[in-house]
Amino acid sequence: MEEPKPEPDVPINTNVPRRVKVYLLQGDDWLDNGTGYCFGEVEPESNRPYFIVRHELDHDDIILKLYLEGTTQYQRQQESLIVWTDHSGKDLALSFQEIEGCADVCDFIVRAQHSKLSANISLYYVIPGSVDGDDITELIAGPIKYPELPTMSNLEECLDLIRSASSSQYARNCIVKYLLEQDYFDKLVGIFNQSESSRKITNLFLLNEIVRSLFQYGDPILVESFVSRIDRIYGMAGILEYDAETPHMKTCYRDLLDRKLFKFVIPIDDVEMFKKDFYLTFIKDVVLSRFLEDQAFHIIQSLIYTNQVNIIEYLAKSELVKYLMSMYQVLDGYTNDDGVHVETKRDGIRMLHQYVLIAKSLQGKQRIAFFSALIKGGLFDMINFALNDDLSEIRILGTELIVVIIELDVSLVNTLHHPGEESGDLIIDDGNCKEIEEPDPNIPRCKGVNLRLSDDMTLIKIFTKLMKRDQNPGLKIQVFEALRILLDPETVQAPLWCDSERSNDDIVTGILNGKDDTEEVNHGGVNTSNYFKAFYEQVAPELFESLIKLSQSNDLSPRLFQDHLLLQQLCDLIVYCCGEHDTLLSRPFFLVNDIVLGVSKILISKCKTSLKLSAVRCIRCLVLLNDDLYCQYIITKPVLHNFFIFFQEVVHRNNLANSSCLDFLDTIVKNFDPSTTAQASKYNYHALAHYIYQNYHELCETEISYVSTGKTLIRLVEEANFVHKQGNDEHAHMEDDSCDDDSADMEEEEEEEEEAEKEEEEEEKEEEEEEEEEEEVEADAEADAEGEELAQDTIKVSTPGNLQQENGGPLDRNKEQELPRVTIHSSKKINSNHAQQQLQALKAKHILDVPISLATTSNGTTTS
Amino acid sequence: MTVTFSVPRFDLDYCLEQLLKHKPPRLLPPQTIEQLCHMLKTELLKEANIMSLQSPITIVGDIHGQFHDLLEIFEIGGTPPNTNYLFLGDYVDRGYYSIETILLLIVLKLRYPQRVHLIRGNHESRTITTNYGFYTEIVTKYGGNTEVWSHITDLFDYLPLGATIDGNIFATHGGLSPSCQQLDQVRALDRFREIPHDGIMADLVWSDPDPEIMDFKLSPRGAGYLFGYDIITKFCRENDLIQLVRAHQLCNEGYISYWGGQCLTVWSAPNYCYRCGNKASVLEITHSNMQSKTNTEKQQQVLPGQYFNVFDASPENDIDTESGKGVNGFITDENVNDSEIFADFFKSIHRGKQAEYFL
Repeated sequence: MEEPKPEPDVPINTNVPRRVKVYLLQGDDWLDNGTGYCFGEVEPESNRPYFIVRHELDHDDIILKLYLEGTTQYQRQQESLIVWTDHSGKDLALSFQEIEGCADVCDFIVRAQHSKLSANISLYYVIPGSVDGDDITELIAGPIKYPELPTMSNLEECLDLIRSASSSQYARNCIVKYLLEQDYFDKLVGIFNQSESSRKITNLFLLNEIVRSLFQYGDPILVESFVSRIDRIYGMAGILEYDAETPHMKTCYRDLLDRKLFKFVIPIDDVEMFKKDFYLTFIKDVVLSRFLEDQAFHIIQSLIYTNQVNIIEYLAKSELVKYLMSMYQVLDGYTNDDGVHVETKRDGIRMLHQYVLIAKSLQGKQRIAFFSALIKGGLFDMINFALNDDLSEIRILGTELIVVIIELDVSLVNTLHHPGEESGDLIIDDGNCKEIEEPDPNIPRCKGVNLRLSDDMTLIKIFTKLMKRDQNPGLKIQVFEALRILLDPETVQAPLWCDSERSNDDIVTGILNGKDDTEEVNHGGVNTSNYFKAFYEQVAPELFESLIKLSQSNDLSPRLFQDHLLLQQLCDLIVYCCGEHDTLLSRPFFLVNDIVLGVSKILISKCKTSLKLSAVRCIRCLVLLNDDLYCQYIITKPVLHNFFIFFQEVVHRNNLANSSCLDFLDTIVKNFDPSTTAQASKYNYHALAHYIYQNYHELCETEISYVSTGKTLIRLVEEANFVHKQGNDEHAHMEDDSCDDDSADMEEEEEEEEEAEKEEEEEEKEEEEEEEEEEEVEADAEADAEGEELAQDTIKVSTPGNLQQENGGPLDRNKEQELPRVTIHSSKKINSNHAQQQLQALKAKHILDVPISLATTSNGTTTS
Repeated sequence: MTVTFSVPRFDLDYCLEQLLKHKPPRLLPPQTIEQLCHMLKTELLKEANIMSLQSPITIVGDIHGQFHDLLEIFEIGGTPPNTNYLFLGDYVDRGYYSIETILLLIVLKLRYPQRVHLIRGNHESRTITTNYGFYTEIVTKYGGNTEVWSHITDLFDYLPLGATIDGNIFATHGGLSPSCQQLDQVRALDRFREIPHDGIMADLVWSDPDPEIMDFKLSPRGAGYLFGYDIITKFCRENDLIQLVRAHQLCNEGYISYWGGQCLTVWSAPNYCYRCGNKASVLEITHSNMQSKTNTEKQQQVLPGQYFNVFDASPENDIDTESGKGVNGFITDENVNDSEIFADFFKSIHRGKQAEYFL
C-alpha cells in the first residue's frame, strides 16, 4: 500500500480520461451537474494538483475544476463514488462509470498526498459494515499524526495516537516506519526505567498499553525489532509486568529471565543464537501468552522456528557434536575419563535431549543432517552411558532421545555407514562426510558407529538389558515402545525419508545388501530376514528369558512374578512378533523354547490378576492367528489346560477375569461357527472346540450357565459330529470329520450334506463323499510329512539345543505332557464324579494325539 | 512394582480433603495418582462388565470436567456415603477441571466402594481425551508431565460398561447395540481394551435413541447406532427389563424421557462448555416398584420411584465462564505448610518447572 515518496519528476497525472457524472448536494438532493471525463492533473506553474471534468461532448466545456488543497477529506464509497466537502462547504460527488476509473482517480489523490503537493488532504475508504450497517472507514492516505518521542509526561498522547492508527493499514505502516527510524522502542524502555525507579505507576501502565497496542499492529518487522536484542527483551518483559487490569499485582518476568538458566556444557561461539531460542520461547509461552493476538503469535512462532533451524544446522555442521560425543567415548574398554565430570556428561545428555526434541519438529532435511551427525559422532556411546547411569532421570532422557530418533528415522540408525566395508562412502550425508572420512587421530572411531544393519543388535541389546533390569515403570514402557519400533518390519524396511528426500538411497541399500541391482531393493530397507534372524538368535532368548524359565520350572513361586510389568510386556511382545514377523522365524523360537507354555503357566500361578489377563489375551491372539502349529501346540502342551484351570477359578464370578475367559471361549466359538461368514479356514478352531468339548464338557454345559457361549460350543461340535456319526456308524473318528472343516467351501458342502442326511436319503451320494474324503486324507498325509520336516528344519536351524526334544516325535512328547496334566486335573474339582473324571482324562489321553495328525493334515493341505 | 496394595483410609480422606476443602481444589501428586489408579484397577478387576446394583441410587450423567457442578450434585443429591451414586461416564474433557473431577471420583470410589459406582463413557478413551481437552489439561497442570494421563487412561480400560438396577433397569452411557440382543452377551466381552470402532463395546458407549426411526440406523456421530422404539421394546422384553437409563446427549432441560419413560437421558453438565445455557439433572431412583404411582412421575414422564432432580450451574463457575478459561483452578498465593504431606509437590507446582537451558 505504501508508496515511496515520489521524486518531483514522477508523473502524478492520471493517464486515461474516466467517464464520470458530477453531482452537487443542494438541500437533501444530489443534483446532476453533467457527464464528462475526469482527469487528475498538476498545474505546472503552481505545482497544485486538481481534478478536472470536461464535458463528454464538448472537450472545452469544463464542468468542474477543483484543486486538491487544505484539509479536504475525500471518501470513496460503494467502490465507484468519490464524495467530499470542499473548502467552501459545498458537497460534491463524482460517480464513475467504472470501478477502475474510480480507483485510478483515488490513486491520483494518494499520489498527490504522498508527494506532499497537497500534504493535508486525506482519502478514506468507506466499507459497508457486514451486518448491522455500521460502515467502516479506513484511512488510505492522509497526514499522519506521529507520536512524539516519549517523555515522562506525554505517554497518554502517544498511546492515543498509536491506538487511533491501528484501524488503518496505511497509518500503521507509516507509524511502524517512523518508530523503527526513531528507535522508538529503546526510548520507551528508557522512559520505563525512569518511571519504574521514580515509581510513576500510571506511566508504567501506559507503557504497558503502548507495547500491547504495538503488538496488536501485528507487524513482523516491528515485533522482530522488539526481540532483537537482550536489553530490549528485558525492557519489554519489564514493561509487560505492569498490567492495569491487575493494578495491585505485578508479574516477575524479569526475575525469571534473571535466574541462572543457562548451563554451558560445551564451548560455543555463537551463544546469542542459542539464548535467543530460549528468550523467544519464554516470551511466547510466558510473557505474551496472556494477550497475544493470533498474528503476533505466528510472528513469534516463525521467528522461533527460523532460529531453531539455524541452531540445528549450526550444530549439524560444526564440530560441537563431535566434541560432545567425545566425552562419552569408550577406548579399549576404558571410558574417556580425563577430567570430564559425570555431572557434565549428564548435562550433555540433558542438552542433547533438548536439541533432539527441537530437531524433531523440524523438516526432514535438517533433521536428518542433524541426526546423522549425531550418530556419526558416536551417539551410541553416549546412549550407553545414559542408559547405565544411576540417575533414572538420565536413563529416561537417554531412552527418550534414542526413541525420538528411532521413531522418525529408524533407517538412519540402521543403515548408517560401516567403514569395515569397502564402500566406505555410504555415508548418508551431503557434504560434511569428508570430515569423517579423513581419519582424525584425536577422535578414533568408536564401536557404535559401525552399525551394521543386517545383524547389528547393539541397540536392541541395550534395550533388552534395560527392560529386564530397570524397575522404573515409565522407562520400561518407553523402552518397550522403542523395542517395538525396532522390531517393526515395516519401519525397518521403509525409511520415512528415503523416497522423498534422497535419490541415492537406493544405491546405498543396494550396496548394503551386496547387490548392484537397485531395482530390487527400491524401498531403501534392510535385509530384514537377516536382521530378524539375528534378533531371534542373539537377543530374543535373553529378552524372553523369564518366560522360558517359567516354562521349565515346576515351582511357581511368586519370586518369578516379581517383575510383573515385564511379563505383561513380554505377553504383548509375543503377540506383536507372532503377528508381524515372518512366521518361519518367529514361530520356531516361541514354540521350541516353550514360551507359549511359559505364558500359560502365568495362569496357574499366584500372581496379579491383571498379569493373568494379559496371558489370556496373549493366548487368544495366538489362537486368532489361525496358525496350525500354534494351535497344535496350544492343545498338546497344557496351554489350554492351564487356561481352563484359571477359568474354573473364576467361572462363578462375574468380574473382568470371568469376562476375559468367556471372551476367549467366545473367540473360538465364533470362528468355529459354520454360519459365520468368515472365509478363513475353520480347521484350527474346530480342533480347539473339539478339545474343549471333550475335556471341559461339563464346565461348558452346566457351569457357564449365565451365557450361551458354552452351550453354543457344545451344540456346534455336536452338530459337526452328527454328520460323521451318520456317515461312519462304526467309529466316529475325529480325524475324518475334522478334515471337512478345512475350508469354508468344505463347510458349506457339509451343511448341505447335513440336510441331506436328516432326510436320510441319497445314501449313494454320501458314500461317494466318503471316498473322496479318504483319498484326500491320504494325499494330505503325504504332503504333511513334508510339512512336518520343513517345520523341524527351521527349528533345527534356530536352536540346535532343542533338537533332541523335537526328534523325540509328537507322541513321546504327548506322553510326557500327559502326566502333569492328569495330576493337576484330579487335584481340581472340575467334576464331582471322580470316576467320570478319570474316564474323561483317559479319553483326553486317547484323543490328544488326534489333533496332531489333524494338524499335520491341515498343514499338508495348506502347502499343497 | 513396589506399589502397595491398599492405601489406608485416612490417606484417602486426606486426598478428599485436598480436593474438597480447598478453593480452588488442589491437585494430587503424580505418585499419589499412580497409586490410587493402581488400587482402583485391582478393585475394578472384580467388577462385572454389567454391575448389579440396587435402589435407592442416584444416577449421574455426563460431567465433562465441570468440577464445581459435580460438587453441586453432591449438594442437591446428598454426599457419599449417604447417597448411592452411579456415574454414567464422560467424566473428563471439555470442562476446565477434568483432572480434579476424575480424581475426586477415583478417591470416592476407593473410599466408598459400595456406594459409588463408575462406568465407562465414550470420553474415557485415549484417542478422545487427546483431542477434547483432558490430555492438554494434564500437560498444562502437571507441567508437561503426561504420566498422569497414562495412569488415568489405563484405568479407564478397567471401567465396567453398564449396570442393572434391581435387575430391571439397564444403565449404560450410550445405548443399545445391534450385535447384542441378550444383556448376558456383554458378559462374554473382554472389556479391557481401548474402546473399539465397532462392536458391542463401541455401541454401548456411542449409541443414541431416536424416536423418529424404527430399527437400527448408523449414527451420525460416526460410531454407534441410532435405535428406535421397536428395538428398545424388544430388548426390554427379552431381558426382563423395564427401562434404559443413559446419558451421552445434551438436554436443555437436563433430562429427556423417550417413549413414556422406557428410555431416559440424564445429563449432568449444566451450562455445558460454559456457554450452552442448559440445565442439568440427576436421576434419583428410590425404588422400582411399578405399582406405587404418584403424580410427580407423570410430569417428568418417568417410572414410579424416579425423580429427575434438576439443577443449574454452580455460581463457582462464574469466573471461568466470564474469562472463557479455567482460572480459578490454579494454585495462586496459597501458603503451603511444610508439614503437609504433599508440600513438596505443591511447592514444585507453585514454583513452576525451573527452566534449564543447556548450551
